[in-house]
Amino acid sequence: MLARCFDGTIGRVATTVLLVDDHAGFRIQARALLVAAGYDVVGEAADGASALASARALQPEVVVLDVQLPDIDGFEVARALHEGPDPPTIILISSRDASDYGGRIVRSPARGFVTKTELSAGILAAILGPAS
Amino acid sequence: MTDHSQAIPSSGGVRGTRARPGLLLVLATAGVAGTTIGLVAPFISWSDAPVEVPRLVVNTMSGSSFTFLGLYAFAKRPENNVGPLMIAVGFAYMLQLLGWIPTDLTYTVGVFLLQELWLVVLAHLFLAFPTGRLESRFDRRLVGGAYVWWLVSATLPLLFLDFRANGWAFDNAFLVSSNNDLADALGRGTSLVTACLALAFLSALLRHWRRATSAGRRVLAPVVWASLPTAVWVISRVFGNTLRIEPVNELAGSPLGTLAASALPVGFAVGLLRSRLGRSRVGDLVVELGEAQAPGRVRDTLAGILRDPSLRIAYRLSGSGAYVDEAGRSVSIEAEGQAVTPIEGGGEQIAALVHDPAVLADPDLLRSAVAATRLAVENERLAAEVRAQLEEVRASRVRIVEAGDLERRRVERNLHDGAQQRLVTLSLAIRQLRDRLPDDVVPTLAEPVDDLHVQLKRAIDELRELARGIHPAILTEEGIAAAVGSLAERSAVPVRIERAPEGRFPDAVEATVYFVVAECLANVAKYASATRATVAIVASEATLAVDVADDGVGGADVTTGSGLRGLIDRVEAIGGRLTVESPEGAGTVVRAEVPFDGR
Repeated sequence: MLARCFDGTIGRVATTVLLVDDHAGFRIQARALLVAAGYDVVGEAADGASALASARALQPEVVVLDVQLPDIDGFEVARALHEGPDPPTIILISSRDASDYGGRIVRSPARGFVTKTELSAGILAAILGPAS
Repeated sequence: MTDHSQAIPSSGGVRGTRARPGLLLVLATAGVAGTTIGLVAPFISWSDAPVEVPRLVVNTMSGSSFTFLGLYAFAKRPENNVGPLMIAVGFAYMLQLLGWIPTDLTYTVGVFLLQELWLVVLAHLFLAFPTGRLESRFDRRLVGGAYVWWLVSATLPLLFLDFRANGWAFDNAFLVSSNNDLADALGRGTSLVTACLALAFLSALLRHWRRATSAGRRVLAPVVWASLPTAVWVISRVFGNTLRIEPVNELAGSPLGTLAASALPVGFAVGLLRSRLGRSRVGDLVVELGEAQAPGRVRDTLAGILRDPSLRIAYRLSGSGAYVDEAGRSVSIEAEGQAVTPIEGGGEQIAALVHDPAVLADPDLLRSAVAATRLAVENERLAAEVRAQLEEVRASRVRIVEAGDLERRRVERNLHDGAQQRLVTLSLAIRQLRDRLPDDVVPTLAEPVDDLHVQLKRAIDELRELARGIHPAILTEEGIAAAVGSLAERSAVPVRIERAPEGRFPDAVEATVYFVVAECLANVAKYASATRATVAIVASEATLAVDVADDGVGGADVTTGSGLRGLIDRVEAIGGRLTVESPEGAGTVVRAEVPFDGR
C-alpha cells in the first residue's frame, strides 16, 4: 500500500502479519522467513484464544494460522476471525497435508492452505500478491 | 399396591394354615342353628302377622347360603379371607333373628338397628374379592366409611321413632323424644346418602374390573354375573325407600328380589372354585415340558396354565445373585402392581416369578405349576447363566477394540505434535540457510544443502505416511467416505469407489470399515496382480456394509499371513461378519458387515 513517509517520500508499507502456531521453534523459523520475505510480523500467538485477542488488538492484514491448536480448532478460529469487522486474509498452515482435511479447507473462509514444509516467500506471494 | 411375596416350599410339605376342624364345626353348628331358628321362629313367636312360607324359606335360605358356602370356601382356602367374609355376611343376616326375642331391646336391635348390616358386609366382600383383602386406599376408606355410616344412619332416625304410636308390638329401647315426622325425614335423608354410597361402591367395583388382568377377570366374572340381579334389587330397594316409589318397594320386597340376592353366594363360590378346574392342566404341562425346549417355552407354558400373560421368569445367577432373563440379559424383579414368587431348587433360590397378584388367589395351582416346571426352570437357568457370561465376554471384546483405537489416535497425535513439528521446523531452517548462503559459496554449497533439504522432506513424508497408517486424520475429520477416497487416490492399483455414504457413523464402525478397505487394498497391491479394484460401502438402518473386489489371481487364504485373520477377528469383536470369496484365478471379493451397536 502507498503511504506518505515522514520525510515526504512516497514508499510502500509492508503488509502486517499475525503468526499463530503452538510450536515455539516453528514460530521462530516462520517469523524469520516472513521478515526475510518483506512482511511486517506485528504479533505472535500460541493458541486460539490469544490469536483472537491479538487479532482484535493489532488488526493485522494477514493471519498465518496453524490448524492444530491446543484449545480451539484452527478452522473455528478462522471462522471467528472472518466474522469480525474488516476481516484479515487468512492462510491456514499444517504439518499434515491438504488431503488429510478433505472438504474442510474448501468450506473455510481462508484464502489458502500451505503445508508447512512448502512454506516459502514464493507461495505466500502467490496467495497474497506482493508483500509490500 | 401391597407386595404379596409368598414363599413356595421346595419339596412336598405344605406350609400355610389349615382351618382348625373345631372352628369349622362350631361355625357350622351356629349356621344350622340360625337357619333352623329362622325357619321356625315366625310360627312360634309373639307375632300374629300371617307367615308367607315361600318368602320365609327364600329369605332364610339365601342368608344361610352365604354362611354355608362361606364355610366351604374357608375350609378350602383357609388363608383367604373371602370365606370368613361370606360367613360374616351370613351371620350379619341371621343376627336379625334377635328381633324375634320378645323384649324391647332385642326387638329394636334386631328389627331396626341390624337391618342393613349384612349389606355393608356384603359390599366389603365384593371389594375384597378375590384376595380377601382391601387393596387400595380408596377401597379401605369406602368400606370403613360405610360401616360408620351404617351405624349413624340406623341410629339417627331410631332416636325419634315412636313404636307405640305406629302400633307396633314393643317400645323403642333407644327413644329420645317422640317425633315421627322427624324420624321420617331423617330416614329419607340418610337413605339418600346411602344411595350415593352405593353408587360410589359400584364405581369402585367398575375400577376393579377395568384394572384386572385376564387372570383376575376370570375369577371376577362369575361374581359379576351373579350380582347383576342383586345389584338391581339393592338399588331399587334403596331408591324405592328414599323416593317412596311403592311399586318398586313391593317388587323389591317380594320373593323375586330375595331370590336374586341368593344368586350371589353361588357366584362367589363359583369364582373361587374356578381355579380348581385349572388343576388338571398341570398334568398336560408336565408332558409338554418334557419335549425339546426353546428359550422362553417354560414361561409361555406357565403363563398359559396360570392364565397370566404378563407373567415372566427371572433367573437368579448363582455367583452374583443378580437376575437375568432367558437370554442372559439383566432384568429387574421389581414391577409396578406385580407380585413376586420365588422358586427354589436344590436348597437355594433359583428364579423368581413375576406375575399378576390375582394368581395368588389359588395358591394350590401355583404350587403345582411351579413344582411341575422346576426341572425345566433349572435347565433354563443354567442356559441363562452361560448366555450371561457370553454377553460379558462380548462386551469386553468391544471395549478392547475401542481401547486400541483410542490408543492409536493418541500415538498419531503425539507423532504430529512431537517429531513431525520438529522436522518441519528443521526443514524451514534449512531453507532459510540456503537462502542466506553468501554468493561466493553458493556454487559449492548450494547443491549439498538442497540435497539435505530434499532428504529431510522425504523423511517428513515417510513419517506422515506412518502416522496415517497408525490412524488417518481424515477419518476423524471428514468421515468414512472421504477417508476411503483418500485411500483410493494413494493406491498403486486403480480403485473405483462405486458407492460411499455421506454422513458420520459410530467411531468404532468407521475405523473398522476403513481398516478393512485399507488392508484389502494393500493385499490387492501386494498379491493379486490385479488391474483394477472396486470399493462399495452401503449404510442401512443398523449396519455399515463394505465390499472390496478385484480382478486379480484370487486364491486368497485366510490362514496364511495376509492379515485377513486379524481383520476377521477385529470385525467379529464388534459384532460384525467378514467373508472372503477367492476362487483360484477368478479375483477376490471381501465382504464385511458391521452393526452400529456392537452386539
